[in-house]
Amino acid sequence: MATNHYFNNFGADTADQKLIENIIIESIQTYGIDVYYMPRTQVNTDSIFGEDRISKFEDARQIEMYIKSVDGFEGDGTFVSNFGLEVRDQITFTVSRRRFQELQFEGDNRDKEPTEGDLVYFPLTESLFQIMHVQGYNTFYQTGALQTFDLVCELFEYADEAIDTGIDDLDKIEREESYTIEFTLGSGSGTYNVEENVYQGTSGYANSSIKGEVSNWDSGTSTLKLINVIGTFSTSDNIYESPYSIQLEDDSTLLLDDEDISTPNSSTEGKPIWESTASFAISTFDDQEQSTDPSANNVAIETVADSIIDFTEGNPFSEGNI
Amino acid sequence: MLGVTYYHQTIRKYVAVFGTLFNDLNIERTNSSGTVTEKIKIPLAYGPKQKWLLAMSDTTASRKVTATRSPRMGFALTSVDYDSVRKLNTVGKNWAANSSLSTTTSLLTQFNPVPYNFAFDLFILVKNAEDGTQILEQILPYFTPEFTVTVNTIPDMGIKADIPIVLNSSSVADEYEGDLATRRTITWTLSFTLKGYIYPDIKSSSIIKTIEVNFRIPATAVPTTDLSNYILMESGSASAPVYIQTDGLLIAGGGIMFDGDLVAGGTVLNEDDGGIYLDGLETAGGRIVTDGLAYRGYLYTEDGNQITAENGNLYIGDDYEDVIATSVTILLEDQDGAILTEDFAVGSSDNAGIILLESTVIEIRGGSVQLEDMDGRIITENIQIQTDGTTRIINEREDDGIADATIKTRYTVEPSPSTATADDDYGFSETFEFFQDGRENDPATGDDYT
Repeated sequence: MATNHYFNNFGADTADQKLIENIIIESIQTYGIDVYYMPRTQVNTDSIFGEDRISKFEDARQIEMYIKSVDGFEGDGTFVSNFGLEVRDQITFTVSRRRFQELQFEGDNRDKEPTEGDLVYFPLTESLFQIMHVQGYNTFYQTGALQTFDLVCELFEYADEAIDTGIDDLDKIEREESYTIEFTLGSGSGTYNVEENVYQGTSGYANSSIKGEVSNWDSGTSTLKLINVIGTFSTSDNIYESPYSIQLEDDSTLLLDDEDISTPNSSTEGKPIWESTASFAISTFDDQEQSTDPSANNVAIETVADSIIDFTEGNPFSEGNI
Repeated sequence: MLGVTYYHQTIRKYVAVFGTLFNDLNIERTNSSGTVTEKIKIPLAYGPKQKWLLAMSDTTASRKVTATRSPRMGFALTSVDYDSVRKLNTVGKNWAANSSLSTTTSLLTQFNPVPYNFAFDLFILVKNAEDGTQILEQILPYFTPEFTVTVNTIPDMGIKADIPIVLNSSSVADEYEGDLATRRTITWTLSFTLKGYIYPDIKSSSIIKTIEVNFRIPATAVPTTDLSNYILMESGSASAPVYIQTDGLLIAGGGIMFDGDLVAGGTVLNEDDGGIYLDGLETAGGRIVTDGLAYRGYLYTEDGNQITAENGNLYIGDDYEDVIATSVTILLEDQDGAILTEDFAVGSSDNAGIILLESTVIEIRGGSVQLEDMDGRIITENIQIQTDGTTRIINEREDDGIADATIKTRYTVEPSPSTATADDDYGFSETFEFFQDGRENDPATGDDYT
């Protein structure tokens, strides 16, 4: 027995369905809030452990969402664990399917629906929420179609993922939450800029094994903060800014990310003149001091322990010969 | 009963020592080609804390940015249990100089510590499984299953304890099951036992810097029969001693007698040998007898004058003139007839001469007394004075009471230099002093007075 064909409730792209969808979109746009949707980019997926330790977020697009959990944050809230303070707030957003697809994210099914693991930036509390579960069937085929996704989100557990979206409100989360080494610099010249790369060594940034990304530079106190650090910095060498700026003869500036001095190199382009880049000597730093993590006690613990542990008998058996 | 206030912060030290084992761990993340893209220092903190202190480290707004940051580590002291296997002697003590003072004036003592096992748990929170395994692989190889740290547990006492930290177990709680809306958390828990000690209080006492030994002669009445008769001046041959005899036993008083044939009792047997004999027995006051027991004796001075001793009087000249010997020099000759011009020597070179004391004393004012051995050589080595039959030298009246007993000599040992501090090398100086008459010592104050 077929359904009554006079009531075409389950057709495709019917006028009724469009009407309902338009009304829902308008409702979300009326009662919702603009958030940023940040898709996760997989970089090096480990097929054994099933994870990507260096996945990153390089894109963010604004979209309106309705806060379905109208009574406030859900979840376990704020509590103290063995690791300090944890906040496990949950929130559920409702987003229009059509509006999400209009964001036109690239990738397999990225343009069709949200994905678990992606982030939602909630501007009211400046929070990053990770999508834990995408529920596509909560409003079950109203007029024969699905108009929304429900995004069950939980506050993001940050693990030094790169956030380079170009939107400062989002990118600063990385700068403020990542593992940071703070350097007090000595003599030198130039200016470091946020998100620039710096390095130590004579072989340039590309070939250096000691690198970092500037998260903050205070010229008044000569304090430089670096994130995304690779290698071990040494006080015996300066911290060099990268990339180099190349001042061309026509007064234009050419930046070379890879420091490839062979380009430009033709007579028609003019000979490059290397500008002096920021370079400062390191006065002091302590890579155990984590200025962005108030709960970390690495330095305090070591300071106390160093006054207790006896280092005078490091190797009592070999008399220093082994 | 136990109200001694002290605190060595030993447990706090153990907490810091345990924590610092793990405060410099890093993880590195690599891309698909194996190139390191990021190096992260693992934050570490002692887990149990005041909640308000944790909360105030973030504003309510800033703590909402992210749930937490991982990877990170926390640790906690979970139990303290007595370890009977490592029990030390209950009455054993540690000793140390009080090095906190500029000059060491006290000695620190402390009873043996009590062994306790401190159980610690190390928690590792990671979001990625490989972050956890990377951390774990940097910890586990150091524990075989123990890792020993030398800890200055009690600096005041100079105690450095080798503290083994034993890794008992490692477990992981990976909550990956459940519905999608539930967060996956990976927590490694490593259980350790720190084999430490709890130390008792430190007691301080003065160190011994000076030793005074006061020698006194007991004033207890000694029976007459116990009085010693001889002061032996031992020569090179113990079998032929040279001696001075004090003889208060047989006859009252005493005398000086040069006579090689003395027998006990101070009687001159070979009277013809002549000598000086002060005999308070026969006549009061004593006299010099040159011819033994003769009624009258003669002495001759160097210029031929005659000295006659009779009835306790001393006459100089040919007749018995009553010349009072107000200033008489007694010259002694040696065996060869030569007048002794050197220091007055008492003794006998042939075991024949003695000085007999009877109820009198030999008083030497100025000059010196030299002792010769049997061969006539002046004794320059140490002289041992030996009493006869007892070990005491009686130079006190036997009827003196206890209260009259006084310190006669004092032996004092002091460190040198006196400014020595703890752990300095230093020696001692020794002083031997004699008490003059009238000088007394108050044992209550330790001070001398006259």
